[in-house]
Amino acid sequence: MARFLTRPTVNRRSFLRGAAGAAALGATASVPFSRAWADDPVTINVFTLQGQPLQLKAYEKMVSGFEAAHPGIKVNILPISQTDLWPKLAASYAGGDVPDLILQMTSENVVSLYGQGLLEPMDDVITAVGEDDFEPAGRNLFKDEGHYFAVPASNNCVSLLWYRKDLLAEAGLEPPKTWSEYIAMAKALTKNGMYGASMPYGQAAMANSITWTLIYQAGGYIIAPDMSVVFDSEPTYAMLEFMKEIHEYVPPGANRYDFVDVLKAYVTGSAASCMYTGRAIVNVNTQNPSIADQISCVPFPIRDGGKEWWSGAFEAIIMPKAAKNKEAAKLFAAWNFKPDEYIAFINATPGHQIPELRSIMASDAYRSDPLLQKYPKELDITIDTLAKAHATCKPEDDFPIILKAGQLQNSGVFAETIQRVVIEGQTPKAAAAWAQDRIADFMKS
Amino acid sequence: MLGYVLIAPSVILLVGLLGWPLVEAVILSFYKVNPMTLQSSFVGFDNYAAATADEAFWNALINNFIWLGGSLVLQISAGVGGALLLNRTFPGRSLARALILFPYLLPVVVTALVWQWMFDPLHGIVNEVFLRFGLQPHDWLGSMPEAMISVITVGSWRVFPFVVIAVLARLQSIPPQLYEAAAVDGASAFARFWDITVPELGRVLFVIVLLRAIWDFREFDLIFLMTGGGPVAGTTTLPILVYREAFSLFRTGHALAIAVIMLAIMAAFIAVYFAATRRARSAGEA
Repeated sequence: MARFLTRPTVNRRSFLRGAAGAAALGATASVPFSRAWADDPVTINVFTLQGQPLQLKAYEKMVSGFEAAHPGIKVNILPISQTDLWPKLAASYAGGDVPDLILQMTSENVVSLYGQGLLEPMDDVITAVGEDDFEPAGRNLFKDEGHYFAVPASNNCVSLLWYRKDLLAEAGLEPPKTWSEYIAMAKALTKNGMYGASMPYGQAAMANSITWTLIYQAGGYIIAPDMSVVFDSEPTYAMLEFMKEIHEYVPPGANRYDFVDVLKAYVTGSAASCMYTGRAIVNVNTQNPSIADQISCVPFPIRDGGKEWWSGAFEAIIMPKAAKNKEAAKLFAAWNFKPDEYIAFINATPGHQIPELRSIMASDAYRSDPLLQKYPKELDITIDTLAKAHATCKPEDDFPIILKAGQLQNSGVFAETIQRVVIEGQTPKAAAAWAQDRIADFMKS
Repeated sequence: MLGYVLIAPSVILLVGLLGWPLVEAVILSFYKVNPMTLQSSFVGFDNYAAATADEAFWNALINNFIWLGGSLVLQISAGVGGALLLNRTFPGRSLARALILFPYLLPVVVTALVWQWMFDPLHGIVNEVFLRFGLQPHDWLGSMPEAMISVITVGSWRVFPFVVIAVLARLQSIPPQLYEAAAVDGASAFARFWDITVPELGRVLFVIVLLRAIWDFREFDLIFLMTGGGPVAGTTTLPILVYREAFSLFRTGHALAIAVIMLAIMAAFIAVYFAATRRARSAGEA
C-alpha cells in the first residue's frame, strides 16, 4: 500500500504525462470562505520541518500571497529540526499551546500523533485539493476508517547514495549495490585527506531514522507484524557490523553527525559519498559548484543477499486536534497546494522533495526547473527508488502500521545502540540486547 | 502588621513563581504522565524505584560528580591564579581586569558554538595546534574521555571570572603590612602565600566553592549544547537525563522523580552553605 508510484508496465514518462492530461494544471485549491476574516483577524502558528534558507524564502512568498488573498489572517512559520520536533511538541501539548498546522512532518511521526488521538481529520482539505490528484500510496497511508488524518504534502528519499563520479572513475570502481561493495569503495577512496563515506553516528534524528532502513534491508524488523519487539536479531547485528566497518572511512567528527553534517561533508568535498536525499543537488550547486558536474546517485546499497528496501519520508501536513484556529489553518493548508505556490516550494530544493500531486509531477512547470533539467538521471533514480519505497512505520504493503514508530525513533535508542558498538566497542549482540529491553519497555509504556 | 502587609506581594509572587511549580513537580513525580495527552495515573513511589533501579541514573549521578569535581578544581585554580596575577601591579592591569570578565559575559549558546568550532576534529584550531606540536589530534566532543574533559574545560573557562572577582576583592582587603612584616622576617614568596594569603582566602573560597557546586551541579545548557550528553552516555549528567526522560522518552513522572532526587542533593549543599555563612557571621561578630 505504501508505494509511491506503481511500477509501470508502460514507459514511466508517458504514464506521468498521461496523468497530466487529465488534470487541470491551473486549478486553484481552496476551501471556500466561511466568514470575513478581516472583521475578526487571526494569527495562525505553523511549524515546518523543512526550514532551510531557500525553503524559508519560498514560504515567505507563499505566506505573503496567502495573506494578500485572505485579509485578516496572519501566518507565523517556525522552522524546527527533526531532532527538536518531539521535545517541542511535548512542550506545546503540555503547555496547551499547540501550533495550528505542522508542515512536512514525516510519516512515522504523523502516525504516532494519530495513534494518540491528537490529530484533526483533514478530509475537507483533501477534497478541496482533489482527492484523485494525490498519489495513492501517500494518500492511503494517512487514511483510516474512511477519514484522512493527514494531507500528503511531498515525498523524499534519504535512501540514496550520492557519490563522486570523478573519484570513482579514477579508482576504476562502479557505484556499489551492496554493503560489502560500499565498504570496499569507501576504503579505496579514503586517502589524501578525502574520506570514502559520510554517515550519521550522532545521537540525533538521522542515525535514529536510517536504522529502520538498514535493518529492513538486512532482512529483519525492529517491530514484528504482531507488534512484538525483535530488535535483538541477526539482521540487527549485521546492521551494527556494517555501521562499525564503514565508520573507519568517515570523517573525524562523524560521531556527532546529524542530517546537515552528513551532507555538508559531501558538499564541501571532505567525503566521496554520503547517504542523503536529492537535497545534495541544490546544496552542491549553491555551495560548491566546482564539483557540480561530478555528483550522481544510486539507490543506497543493500546488504549482500538482503532485501531491496528503501525508505520514503511520506511527508504530510497535519493539524493538532487542540489547534485554536482550525478554519484559517485549513485554508492555509489547502493554499500550500496552489500549483504555482506548490511548485515554487518543491523546487526551492529541486530533487529533494518530490511532488505528491500527480498533475504537478507530470507538469512542465515542475520539470522545467534548471537543476532538474541538469540532473535528469538523478531525478529519475529518485523517482524510481521512491516508486519501490515504503514508510518506516509500514515496511510492507500488508504490514500493520507501527503507531509508536515516531516516538520510538525519537527515544534515541537506535542511535545510542550504534554508538555503543562503534564508540564504546560493545559487541553487536550485547548492544542489541541492551536496546531490545529498552524498546520493549518503551512499547509497553 | 504593616511590615507583613508590605512584604506580602513579594511573598505571594515568590510562592507563585517558585513554590507552586516546586510543589506541582513533587506531586507529579508520583504520577505516570503522558505530556502529549496529559493523561495521568497515580503510581506512588514507582517512579522513584524505577529511577534508582536504572543503570542510567547511577551513571548520570557519577558523571555529575565527575563534572562537578573537575569543574571546581579547574575554575578555582584558574580563578585564584588569575586573581593573584591581577592583584599585582603591571602595565594594562585595568584593561586586563575588564577583559577577564569576557567569558562570563558571553551567552551560553555563543560559548558552545565558538568552542564547537574550535574543537572541530577536521577544521578546529585546537587540533591544528596539536598537529603543529606533533601531537595526535582528537575527536574532542565525539569520544571519551575527551568529551568530558572538553565540557569541563569550557565550563570552567566560562565561569572562572566569577572566582577571580570574588577572590580579587578579598585579596585587596588583606592588609599589606602582613606581607611586609613577613618579608622582614625572611619569609619566602611561597611561605607568604601559604601562611598569609591562603588562610585569608579560606572563608571566601569556602563560600565560592559551595555556590559554584550548587550552580554547577544543575548545569544543563552548556553540556546539552556541546555534546547532548554523548557520546553514548559519557557526558549525560542528571539534568540531561531529566530532559531525555521527559522529552525523548515521554516519561514525565520518571523525569520529575529524578529532578526531586537532584533537589534533595542540592538541598544538602545549600544546608552546608547556610551553616557555613552562619558560622562566618558568628565568627565575625565575635
